[in-house]
Amino acid sequence: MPRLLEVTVYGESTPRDVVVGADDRTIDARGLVLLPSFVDLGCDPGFPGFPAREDLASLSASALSGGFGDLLTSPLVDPVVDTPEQVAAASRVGPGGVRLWPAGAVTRGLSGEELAEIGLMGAAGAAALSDGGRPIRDTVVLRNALEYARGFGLRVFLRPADADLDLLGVIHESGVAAELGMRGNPAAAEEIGIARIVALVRSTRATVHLTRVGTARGVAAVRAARAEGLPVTASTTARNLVLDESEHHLRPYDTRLRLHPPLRSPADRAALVAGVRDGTLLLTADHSPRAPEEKDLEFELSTPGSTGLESAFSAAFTALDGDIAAVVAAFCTGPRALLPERPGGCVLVDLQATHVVDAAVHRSRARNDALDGHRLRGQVRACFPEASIPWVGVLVSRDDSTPPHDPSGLREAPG
Amino acid sequence: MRGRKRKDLLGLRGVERAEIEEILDTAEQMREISRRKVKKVPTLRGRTVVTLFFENSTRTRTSFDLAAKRLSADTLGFAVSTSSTTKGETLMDTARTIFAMSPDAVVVRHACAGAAHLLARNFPWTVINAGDGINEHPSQALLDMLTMRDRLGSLEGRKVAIVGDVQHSRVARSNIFGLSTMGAKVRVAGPGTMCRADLAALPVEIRHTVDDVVGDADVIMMLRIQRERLGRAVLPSAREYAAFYGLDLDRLKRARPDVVVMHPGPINRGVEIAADVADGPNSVILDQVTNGIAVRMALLFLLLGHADLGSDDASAA
Repeated sequence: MPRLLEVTVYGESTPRDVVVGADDRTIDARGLVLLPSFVDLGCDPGFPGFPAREDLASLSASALSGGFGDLLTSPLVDPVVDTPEQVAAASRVGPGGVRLWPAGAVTRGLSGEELAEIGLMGAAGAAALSDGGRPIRDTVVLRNALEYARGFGLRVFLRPADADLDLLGVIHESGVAAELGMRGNPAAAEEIGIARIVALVRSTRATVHLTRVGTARGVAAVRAARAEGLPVTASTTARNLVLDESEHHLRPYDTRLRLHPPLRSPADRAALVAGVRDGTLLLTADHSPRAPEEKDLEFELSTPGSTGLESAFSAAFTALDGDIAAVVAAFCTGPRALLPERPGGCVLVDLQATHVVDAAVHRSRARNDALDGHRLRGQVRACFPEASIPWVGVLVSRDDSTPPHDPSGLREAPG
Repeated sequence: MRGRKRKDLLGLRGVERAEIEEILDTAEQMREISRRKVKKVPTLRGRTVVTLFFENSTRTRTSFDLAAKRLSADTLGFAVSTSSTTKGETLMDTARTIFAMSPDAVVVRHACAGAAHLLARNFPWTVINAGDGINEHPSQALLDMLTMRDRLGSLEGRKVAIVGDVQHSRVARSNIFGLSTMGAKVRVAGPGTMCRADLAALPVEIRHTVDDVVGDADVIMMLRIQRERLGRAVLPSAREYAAFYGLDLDRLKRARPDVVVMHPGPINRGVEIAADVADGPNSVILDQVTNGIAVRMALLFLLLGHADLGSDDASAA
């Protein structure tokens, strides 16, 4: 069993020795902290169908390197995950014990037109439903999907966007786009998307998670919906706490910054940080591996997306200014509460280290990390996805519909 | 330019005033070559200039081609239809092919903003942006500024009105950057779908009626309306555009009598500009074409780094 010598267990004050896994290593963990391992609720696995992006081995290695033990995987792969058979096939445990929790499609073929076999996919192990970030254009279909999914107790992951405005532009519509001569995507696309979904949640009471929230008004709308008691949770990406549109000035036409939705304004970024701090937002790594041939192109023609697993923790820890409780709530306890079973797993981190993100040495097969070259605080040293949690306390399971307000998620075990 | 050894010209945003002045001054010298009987100097003999156009163009491509030939460079035209690139070779692969031909300069036009920057970042040769999406078209703005300077002397404090689809015009954007650097005041006007609020980030004043900008303008620059935008949700019709934003004689009467009327071409007569205005005494549209060759000669000369202009038999320069 790997032994961590003199590790500081998160939530405890005195270092101690902890056994976390199944091999014989002994790790000198003085000065390091043991946290619950991270969960990525927004993982594009890159396989099947895209061998140049990722496979199970490279994805698992990337996750372990970044401290992620559990990944909620997007159905937007080839073939898309819209049948119970596909769900069963996508439910995997990778090398090192990284667990893939498949989200099944909301609509057949992710086309936004007909409902996929939601009940059968749930029975086959779908951890949630998602159309892979594609907005469902037809509001009747969306409403039906929410009503139908509610009957099977499945949470629906939706990227809020007006389907038409969503197609406009390649970076945030603002003065930066005007200066760089790039077509803009308006913040209104997201604001309308959130308003529409919240209105339908209010009437259907379906459980919804909003993904890739990126605007200040979006955060405010989520906060208001949660204050109203609606069963809505939401997340933004860790990189969105570090990067905003001003990055385009520093690296004009750099396709690693081609993201969808685009990086918004500095004020939006500040609102996202505040949203994570007050528990309105959870975080995702939003891991989206892309092959070189998808990025070695004109900005507009390149495929949106950035890898994230290997920089997400440090990005969050840096942007949250070392507030480890907020990181744990946003990446560990909060996301765990949204999965059907509560995973275990631990990660060993060095909170004192700083490093410069270097995608060239990442374990992912892809090299498209938008944070490449950024100096960040905090570094993952090891990840033990299958370790039982060695806390004196236990992770408290929360009612899914209540806000993840407990910043630590850790309480003393009764008795 | 010679001192700093600029490798590429990708846009006028961020280009300093002294550099623009040097280009325009050099262009004036180049114009003299075009007036000689033998319109050719040996300056760029043995150098290769490639024109790489991913969008249809006759004027800009032939203008660069002639400019290079008047400096004795070898020229090679690559016209790649956009349809073939969407499924076939990428820009980078086309560029690698060209790289194998050892060019000294590549003049590129492409539908995507930043295409010229992509080439400039990845290849050692000089890149001249001849239009990248809606971003910039610097040689057009330079020839426009040369034309204005011919008529007005200094550009300092001059009022330039740009009318039309400013939002999607690389010509307008390069002019806005260049003119503001030269001390001119730029006002823009056009329908709301073509002059959105985010243009306020540029050094311009945004107005929504033509009469707001033409009244005291020294220069009125009319932009070409792309036919494919008509009848869509961007613009209702050609006649409505002409009625509110077109430059006809009535509207011209409200401008200064000596106002300079410009258009980057090709013209949609009767839409953005009336025929009698385009052909009238205020119009400098054909001067723009002549100056285009001179400006492009100047750019090739300065970027490819030769100080000797040479002379032909007919002149002792």
